[in-house]
Amino acid sequence: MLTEVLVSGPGSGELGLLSPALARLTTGGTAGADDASDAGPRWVILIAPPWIPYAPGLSWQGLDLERVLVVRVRQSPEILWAMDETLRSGTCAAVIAWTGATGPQRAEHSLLRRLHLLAGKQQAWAVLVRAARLRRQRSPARLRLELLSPAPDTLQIEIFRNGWRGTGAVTVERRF
Amino acid sequence: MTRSPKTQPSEYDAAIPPASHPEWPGSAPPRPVPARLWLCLYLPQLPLEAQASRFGSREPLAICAEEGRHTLVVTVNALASARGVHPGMPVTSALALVPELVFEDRSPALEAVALSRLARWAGRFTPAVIPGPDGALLLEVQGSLRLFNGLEALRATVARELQALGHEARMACAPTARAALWLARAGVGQAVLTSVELRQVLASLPVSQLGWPAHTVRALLQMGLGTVGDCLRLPREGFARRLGPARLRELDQALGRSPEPQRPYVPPARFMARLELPAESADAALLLEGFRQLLQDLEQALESRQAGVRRVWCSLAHPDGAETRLCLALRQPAGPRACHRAGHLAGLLRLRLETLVLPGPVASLAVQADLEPGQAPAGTDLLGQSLRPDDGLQALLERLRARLGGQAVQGLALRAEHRPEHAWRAVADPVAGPGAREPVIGSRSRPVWLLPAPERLRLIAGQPRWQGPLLLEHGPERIESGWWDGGDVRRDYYRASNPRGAVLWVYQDLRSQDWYLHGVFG
Repeated sequence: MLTEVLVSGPGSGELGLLSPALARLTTGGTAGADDASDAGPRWVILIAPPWIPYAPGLSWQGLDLERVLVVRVRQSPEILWAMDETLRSGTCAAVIAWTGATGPQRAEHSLLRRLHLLAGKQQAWAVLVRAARLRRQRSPARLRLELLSPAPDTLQIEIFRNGWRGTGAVTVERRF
Repeated sequence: MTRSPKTQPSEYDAAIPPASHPEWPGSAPPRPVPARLWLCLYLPQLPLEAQASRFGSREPLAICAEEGRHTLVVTVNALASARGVHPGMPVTSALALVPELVFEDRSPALEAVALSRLARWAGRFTPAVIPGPDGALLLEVQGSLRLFNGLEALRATVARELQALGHEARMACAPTARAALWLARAGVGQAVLTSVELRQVLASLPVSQLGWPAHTVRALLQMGLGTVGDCLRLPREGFARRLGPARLRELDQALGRSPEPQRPYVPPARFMARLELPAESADAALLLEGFRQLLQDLEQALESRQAGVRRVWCSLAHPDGAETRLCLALRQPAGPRACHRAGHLAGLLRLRLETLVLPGPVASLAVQADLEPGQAPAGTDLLGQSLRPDDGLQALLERLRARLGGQAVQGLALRAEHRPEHAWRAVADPVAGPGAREPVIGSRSRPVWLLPAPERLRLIAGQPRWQGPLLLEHGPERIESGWWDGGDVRRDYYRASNPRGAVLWVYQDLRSQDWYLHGVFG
């Protein structure tokens, strides 16, 4: 499935929020807590991260670094291409891509839709980290989350389902 | 039995060793299994097929060669043949029949290339492949019969694949290579398995079908010797004196009486293949299609040698002699039948061609690779699952690197180092594993993001700022290290937050008292 995370800028807590799920995936579990099927450890791929994914930090969050790959790109069209290839290969449990401020534009809606379908077919979790100002854009993502950080130790998550109208908000505590 | 040594005694029979004599005493002996069985593929159309990529199939075409003072037609395509042009005809007569006939000189070099390509392909049926004279290929298949479910099934497979490769062949089977060659040339398709049958079948073979020079054939016919059987009835010495010892040796070899020295085809350790394009072109789709053919040849070479490749050089030659070269690098040697098939290599090449800027049109393509021996096929387990689960990932890495650059994909590993910027390293070959795990120093909270280089922070009223004034929330953690390699640091690290809710990892350099941003949490 495709999940969209909307942030005001990189480093807004998205990787910390995703980390517990990624940790489970890299160590052989599944993302969902109630899912009984165990597929063995698969890869987690980070595409176009804004800074260096810091190995000691990821390890601190519980990720098995031997199952983490970092893909750097030179131009933004290559981000979605790399995501597409990665999902298509069927080797990855999760693919997280930072599309940056310029992000996919409206014309790329069909491309996003394809990524969504691919992720469903390959039973992979595709996460797109996009700029919050794109929140009103149409999106094929089933789940869209907007991250707000009103205080340093809390993360407020606005949840959109099937569209851009918010259906709820949760507040989680950040752990460091 | 067509002949009996009692009624027609000849010196020729004196040389027959008793063991191979057809009339070995004993009633109804079990059918002897020949020690060898040769399958000959005779390619009458090779001169045409070798140059096929240069022509369309819409026009009548003839390949010709000079013979003495005449230029004779060697092979013709179906269109020309339908209009009465046949091999051996002088070119002038052919032109009189079909004025628009297209001519091309025979190219021995291209024929040799085509034949060695076929020899490479045939290596998948048997290790003993011998390129024979005049566009024939000899395969010793006795040892391969069981693997391919018998001779008929093997012949069917060979015929099907030959057709797919665009070659027309006549096949024959015999216990000796020479006999197989003669029978194939004469178009005797029936499989000859025993020496008794061999003698019978050879006896009725016309001497004009043996590929002997025209003057030899003429001399034989003038003596009233029309078939191989007639020749066998002659005294050996007389035959050798009149027609040369070489012909006698050939007869002996065909009957299995004297050994046939053969040099089997050994595929070169370096694969090289070239393709002339029908017309100069810069169309990526067309170029890719051409490369796809060459890569399929490469795949066959890998399969027949059980070899692998690590690098494949693809070059595009421009008409002015310049060359554009590409190198496809594989993280692990691509073996036969692994995930690295021609399709995978072609996929990598497509990614490269998409971004390649060609200086001009391309006249020919070439593929080169050094074959590394001993790459056994990856194989599958009993349930058909690949035994190497990371094959898919390896293929993905190669595709990503082909388009994004060799350094674009990396794994991560920890290093036992106190200095934060040295506490991790990139792993170039993540599938192989990062090697020995190093013990992790400290189990302290660390940010998930590290800045490529520390960013110096502005100070306002002595307070560091980054998108607003920073509030130090946790710390300090002193890190003093690296005095031994000249990169020593003395820093106090803090976790800080700014008014936007970002949680940052900052430090104060204890020598300069400057503040730096080094990482970002979450």
